[in-house]
Amino acid sequence: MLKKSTFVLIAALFSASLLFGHGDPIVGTVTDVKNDNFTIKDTSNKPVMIMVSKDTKYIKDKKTVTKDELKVGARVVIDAHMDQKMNMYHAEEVEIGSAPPAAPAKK
Amino acid sequence: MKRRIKILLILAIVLVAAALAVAAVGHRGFSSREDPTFVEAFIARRVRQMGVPPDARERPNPVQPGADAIADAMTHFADHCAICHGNDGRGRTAIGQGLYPKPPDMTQPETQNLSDGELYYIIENGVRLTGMPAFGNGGYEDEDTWKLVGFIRRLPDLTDEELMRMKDMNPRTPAELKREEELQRFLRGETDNVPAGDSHRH
Repeated sequence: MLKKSTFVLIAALFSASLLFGHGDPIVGTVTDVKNDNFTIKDTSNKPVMIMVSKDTKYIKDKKTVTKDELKVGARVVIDAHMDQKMNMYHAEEVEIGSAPPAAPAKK
Repeated sequence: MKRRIKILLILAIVLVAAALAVAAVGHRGFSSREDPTFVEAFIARRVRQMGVPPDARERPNPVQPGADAIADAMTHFADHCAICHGNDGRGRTAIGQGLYPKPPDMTQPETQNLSDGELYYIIENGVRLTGMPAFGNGGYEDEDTWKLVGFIRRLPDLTDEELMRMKDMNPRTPAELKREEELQRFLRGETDNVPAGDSHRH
């Protein structure tokens, strides 16, 4: 009984760690694009700045594209990790939506 | 008398080393988020090297790395290995980065310079006190493992298209599949409402 309970507990902890460890991509709409970063408005309308580098991959319609495709108003799903030194997200892969970029909001 | 002094000296050295180790754990904690120190990494690498029997190290890969073998191994790698090593073998995954020690960047010389036999031995037998489990029974006849060895050689040259194919092969839970569909609908502009996931952490 004890052995069974221990196994179940370990299995549950492992499954939980897999679920939580996998993380979730950052989702939002591009509001600004610069050389080494871009900013999005995430799903809770908060601005999030994302660092990019030469290793960052850009994907659109299942094909690799260049950073030029990243335009203000484009919808993006970003696989990123937290750069502990800079305390900022660093994009590994940016998937750009096929929906036409939304017009920037008027000021 | 001299012998006694020698023993005392050795004991003193062991005690000091143990005290330093305890102090280091006290200072650094036991979190697996950190990277091993240079000394730890050096010793671990040497011990692993010594742990591979010479006859295993020298075994050539009996499987020719043809297109079929590479395709089989790619599927196998995406399904079983990528969760820690990443599809590109660089180890930049949530689980990989949480391990101690972290999986190596397998595109780099530290891995690529290992012999085929060493790579096979590590996959089959795992590495103690790391996250690398034994995937085989320790024999030398596992064709799938030899195919993986051939695929590891290809890691530095994987194309973006191959990486994208692998991404589709990665295992997913029903919840992850549902989430993926939600994200694709968002990208296509079919919905603005994407429920927040578990976290941004990756």
